[in-house]
Amino acid sequence: MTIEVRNIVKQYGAFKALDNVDLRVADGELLALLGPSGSGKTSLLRIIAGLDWPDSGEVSFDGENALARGAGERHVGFVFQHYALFRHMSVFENVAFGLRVQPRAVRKSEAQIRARVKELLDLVQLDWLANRYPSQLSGGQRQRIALARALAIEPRILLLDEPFGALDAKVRKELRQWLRTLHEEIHVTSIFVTHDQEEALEVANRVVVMDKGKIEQIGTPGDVYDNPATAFVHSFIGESIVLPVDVSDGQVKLGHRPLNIDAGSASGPSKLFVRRHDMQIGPLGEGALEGTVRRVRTFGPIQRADIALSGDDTLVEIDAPRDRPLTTGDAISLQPRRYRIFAGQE
Amino acid sequence: MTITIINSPVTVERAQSVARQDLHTEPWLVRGIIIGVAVMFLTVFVVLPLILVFSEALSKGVGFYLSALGDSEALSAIWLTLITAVISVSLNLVFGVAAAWAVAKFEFRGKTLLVTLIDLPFSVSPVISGLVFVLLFGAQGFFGPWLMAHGINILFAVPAIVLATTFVTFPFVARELIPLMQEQGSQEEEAAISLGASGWRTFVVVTLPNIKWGLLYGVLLCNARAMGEFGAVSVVSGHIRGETNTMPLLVEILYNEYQLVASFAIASLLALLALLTLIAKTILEGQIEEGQLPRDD
Amino acid sequence: MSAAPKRSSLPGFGLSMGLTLTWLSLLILIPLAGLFVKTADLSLSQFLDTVTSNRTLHALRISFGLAFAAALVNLVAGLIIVWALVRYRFPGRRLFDAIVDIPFALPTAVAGIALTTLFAQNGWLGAPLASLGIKVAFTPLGIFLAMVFIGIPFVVRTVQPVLIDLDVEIEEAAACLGASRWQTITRVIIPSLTPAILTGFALAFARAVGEYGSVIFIAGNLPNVSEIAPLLIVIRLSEFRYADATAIAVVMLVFSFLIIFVLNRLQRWAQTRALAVS
Repeated sequence: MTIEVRNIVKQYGAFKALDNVDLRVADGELLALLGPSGSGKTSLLRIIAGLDWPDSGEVSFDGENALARGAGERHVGFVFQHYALFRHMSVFENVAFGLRVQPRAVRKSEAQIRARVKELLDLVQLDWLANRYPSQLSGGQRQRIALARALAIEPRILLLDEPFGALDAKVRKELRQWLRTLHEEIHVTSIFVTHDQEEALEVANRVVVMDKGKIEQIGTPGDVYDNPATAFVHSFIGESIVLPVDVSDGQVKLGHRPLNIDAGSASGPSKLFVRRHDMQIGPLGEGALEGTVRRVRTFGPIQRADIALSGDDTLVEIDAPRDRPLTTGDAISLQPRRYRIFAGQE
Repeated sequence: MTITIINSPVTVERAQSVARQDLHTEPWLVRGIIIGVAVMFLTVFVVLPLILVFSEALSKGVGFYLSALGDSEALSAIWLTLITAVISVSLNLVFGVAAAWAVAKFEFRGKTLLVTLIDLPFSVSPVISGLVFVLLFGAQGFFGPWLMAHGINILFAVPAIVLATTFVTFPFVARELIPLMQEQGSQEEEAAISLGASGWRTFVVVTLPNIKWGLLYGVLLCNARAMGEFGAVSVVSGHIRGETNTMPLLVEILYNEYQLVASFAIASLLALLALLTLIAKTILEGQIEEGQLPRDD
Repeated sequence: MSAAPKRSSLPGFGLSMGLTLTWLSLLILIPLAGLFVKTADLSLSQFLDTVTSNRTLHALRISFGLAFAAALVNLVAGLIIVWALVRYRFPGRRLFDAIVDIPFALPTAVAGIALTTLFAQNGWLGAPLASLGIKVAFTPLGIFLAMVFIGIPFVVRTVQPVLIDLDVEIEEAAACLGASRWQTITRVIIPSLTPAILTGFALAFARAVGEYGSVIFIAGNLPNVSEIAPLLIVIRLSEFRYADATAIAVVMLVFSFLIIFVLNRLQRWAQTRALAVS
């Protein structure tokens, strides 16, 4: 199932939740919608599910207009952030619900329903919980039951809203791995919303980075990390050192100090983005940043140092290999190995 | 999926409006019927009787209304009602605070049982609430002969009216305070004690300000019920005119004597009390919620 | 009950508990116990004769039967009212929300004379009903309507907070799974409200069974036709037949205890279901 979203606009009062969003999702993809809260990612997910409606724009599944159908007719499996399990029903009945509410003409027989529910509980490896009630399950178990319930209706699309948001760190890690494996097994076109970049980069085939109702970048996890398209993506994904620079005639200056780096297409007041581990430490010299080591701590293979840049004493944090130990008080130069310059300083 | 839908704009728009209608609410017709039934029901059973009380009371003009209220029997009933309410509300206020303190601030076995017992008068028929005092203090009662021998009047006199009223209104204050104090926990009190405050001072300076709106709310409800209690008081009062008639009892007597306007005049005072209590309740609920807001974070 | 508290640095346990238990015993427990002691004056066969006499049986049947029917009406009407108040916006909604409490706050004698006048044959509603051949005042139907009146707040006020807190996500989940709106309401929402609905029902039932003031004016009080059990107690008292009055009271009191037991169960049920899910 392919999903196509065109020119979606959704406004809540004066707040623009989605501002002309376009998105194509290929069949069998596992896509992450990544962004800070208020970026519009959940709104987009809910519109695709049929839980909310856009003010304008189109949504189609395999070329068919999805907006003409209500949530119940779209065959979309939706896993809610807080699971939304029916607390008065056993795990078994929760999973069976979607099968039991089908119109009588197409409804499966009781035996078929039982077999299907058993199959799904096996799939999420929780068949031994069939007779429990939601209040007797752990968070991770509830999450998996919610997923089994969503899969019961054989959805053409699987949508997950912050699927791991309410879980503790350890369970979250296990479930990530599990979701990936499950997706490989069932191969349903899936979209999940998250504000956790690690989760998005680790689980998804493709990542959609959103901010303020717009899509900032769409790409593979490697792509959005290595080649951020915008200043927002660079600062949102991975940790970056951000320095205000001035570009004129292709010359990049930090304060009054010219830097020996390529300005690219930027000009005027801009921002220089460098990953912490992309700062190369060298001897003092022309065209590099200079500073004094203030504090050093070591983590496994790296040493992390706070460097006060000469001039205005801006503190930057860098990661360096341990082969050349740094000590507090050292005067060093920093040369960005990989970097991006984006125009504008907000 | 290879089904294609013919996308004429009109059908799409209609389909969309149909599709988007049914998720969080019902079709307008169903909504209209439900609202209609709810409003009708409340109008017939609540609004009309209430309007009727005032319209009957004023049906012979304001002058008649006022003279009915100024009648000496009416005045003595109002006086007795006020006295009874003041005594039983103060008794239940002290008890309610003590009970809430014990239940909310401490853990002990049998707490559920205690709370159930405190609630008991709610589930007892008002007539039975009166009956138990007749059995205690009546001529054939446990203490009746002794009381009579010593010339002490309890039954068919003010003490029994106060007792029955206190019995009926017993749970109101405690019931309001217990959940409130349980929700607030004991941390603030523990802090005060650890800073060296005495128990009494802690209660007055820390607990009381936290529960004041809930307390006032409980007192108001208690008072409304105390002034309006009919069944229990009717059983123990003896209906001695000008002496042991409270306002609700006078309403009954006047009604049975076909003095309808006078009866509704007294009733209108009681209805007004009920309305004022409800208005105060609405305001206080807002205050209680407001007072609890900062506790959430 | 007065076992020492497990752990608390707060003072005043002895004082508050002592005060509570003393007051509770003096005012509530001893008088109620007196009721049972008094019944012991009757032999078992006398007791049975009293409570199974025609008139008593009839009064009990009227009180319990009509109260049950009224509580059922309150259940249905209460659900409709609470749904309208919580889920819809309409002019006057806040006002209607506030007046739901009036049957609770209005003194019963006032409600009694108002309902009687309203439904009397020349009353605002009694007259049109009479022209349809329906007689309300001074019949069991009148008792029933008075019981409906006093039961209104219970279902509404117990269900209202639960419906407000109900997570809208569970409705969306049901919709995504293909449930129609009707299926969502009957299979998901109503079952989630069941403990609260039953609690409201039990409270309304208990209140209507024991109700006196709002009922006696409209009842007509004909023995074996429209005489309620609480009134029969009053009548027996005025005849100085204390033991008879007490016997009826004991039956009603035992019923009250039963209801309390059921309510406690319901509350525990609701609590275990609510645990940790949200």
